[in-house]
Amino acid sequence: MRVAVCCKGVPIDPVLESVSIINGDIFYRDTDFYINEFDAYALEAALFLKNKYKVETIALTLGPLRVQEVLYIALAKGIDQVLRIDGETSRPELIASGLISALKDIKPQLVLVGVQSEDWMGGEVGVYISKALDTGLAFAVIEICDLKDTYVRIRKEIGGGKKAEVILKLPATLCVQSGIQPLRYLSMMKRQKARNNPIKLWGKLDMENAGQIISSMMAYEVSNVSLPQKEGHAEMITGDRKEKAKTLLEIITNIV
Amino acid sequence: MNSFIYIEPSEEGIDSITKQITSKISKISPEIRGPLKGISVGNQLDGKEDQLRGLFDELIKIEVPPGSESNTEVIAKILTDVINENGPGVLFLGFTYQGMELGPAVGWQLGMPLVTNCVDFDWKDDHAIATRSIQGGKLLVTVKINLTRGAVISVQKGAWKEDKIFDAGANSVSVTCHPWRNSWAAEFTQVIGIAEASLEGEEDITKAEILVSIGRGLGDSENLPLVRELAEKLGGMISCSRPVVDLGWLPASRQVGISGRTVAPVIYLALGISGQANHLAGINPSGIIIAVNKDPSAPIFNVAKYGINEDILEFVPVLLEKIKQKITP
Repeated sequence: MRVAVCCKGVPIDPVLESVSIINGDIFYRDTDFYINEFDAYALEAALFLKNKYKVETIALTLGPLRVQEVLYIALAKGIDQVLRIDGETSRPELIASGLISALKDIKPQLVLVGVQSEDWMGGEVGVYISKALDTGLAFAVIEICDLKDTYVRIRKEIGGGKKAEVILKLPATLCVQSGIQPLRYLSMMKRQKARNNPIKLWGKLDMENAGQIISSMMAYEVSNVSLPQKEGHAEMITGDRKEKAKTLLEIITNIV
Repeated sequence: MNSFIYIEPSEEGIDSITKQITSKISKISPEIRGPLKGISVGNQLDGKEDQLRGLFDELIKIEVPPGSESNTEVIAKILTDVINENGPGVLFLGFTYQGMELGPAVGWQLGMPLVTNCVDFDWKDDHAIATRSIQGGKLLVTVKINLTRGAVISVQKGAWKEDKIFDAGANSVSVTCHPWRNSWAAEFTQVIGIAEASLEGEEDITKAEILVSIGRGLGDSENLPLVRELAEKLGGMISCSRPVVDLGWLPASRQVGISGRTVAPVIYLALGISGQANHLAGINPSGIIIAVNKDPSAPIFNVAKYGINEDILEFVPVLLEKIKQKITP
């Protein structure tokens, strides 16, 4: 059985000045990239399946050369194969489109994706993948209970502290919630060693072709990026630490 | 054009996110937004029709076999068909777990633009200007959406204020019932059970008047006794954000947010919590939010009434000392 895990490189704490908008899309400059935390959990889930069910694991990412680091992390943690699709976009439907092309070639029985990305915060990509590949979908998966040749049984969060247990026919797409498995520490030595491996370039995101296929979904564009307005900002308590503590205690005492 | 609002199931009747969306969209000129049509799947609103007055012009009620009302694969197919047959229109839903799954599924199936996690929406004839958060709420982007073919818009919980009083004198909502279609049946997924975490032996954080809530800023579980002592001294309970549960520092019963509980304490003291949208959705009904965070740009300060820019590990011991001095002057 083959399990694919999609990993996104996300900018680390970008400031307003590092964000630019070109043709309705967001691009980040002068910032480092790291693996999206939710995808890091998806990666751990894939490795759990590899250890328990002896599945073959493939990690893939879409991005320019600078996000290749996420694939080195995947290799260092024990993923069997990695590949990169070249392209740069923040639009979820285009990211999904690039990943879908590669996934159609890989033909995995299970696709794992983090439930959302730390930068765009939308949660669309996994759902789009399931629709394009015509697979079942489970969102916010917190446990993979059982994996058989024809189905997977999972538990997922449905909000308000409730969990649902769901059986999905294979192939299936799972959007993995944080905490599904502990994130294991990765030593610098292991990461350095992984960097000696060549990364397979699967191909390039064909923006024009992808844009035509999903043109009706592309009927929006980012026009501006800004800092949140300060209107609703908290009244900041100032002074030295003792003064702040005293003021806070007075506020609490007056309210209760 | 039509405005469709998916009514998320709620044990209390109409969920707050549905009321928040309706409050915002109903203020847009009817000539632009068209009729407000609520879509309800299953029998969740049976006997609660009075709650619909003033919320919608029409309720589209879909009959489903028992067990299917919680299957998102089924609901996505239903929403797709309803909008296809009653559109064009804009579908609004909450940026909740269900909405996060349904929004992209319906958008993809209908080939409509989808903008998720919106905090503002300004509808102007054939287009709209939406605002959404990125980067953990530290930045906002403005998005221009072409509405010619309709769109799917998911809304951050708590971003839009709920009108406290809806027009109780409004006419009854016209209800259109749609019988079940076999084409809506699930092909890939089967929900075999839904369970709520047991609170046996646990404090119920939804009952607390004061919540001392911790985030990743706690640094390590070894620092838990510090905040336990603070909660005890203030007569409150401990709660937390999601990463604290993921790290195994506290059980899921203490978690606040979309995936945890919605709380309404008199005081919500957020210690080392950045204020991601998923967490803020669970603290919206709180009386007064006080935030302590070493990051001055943490989004929690945008919703808090009072803020303190401090490292909680350095600040809490000083606060405890002040409490002790107050008790024994």
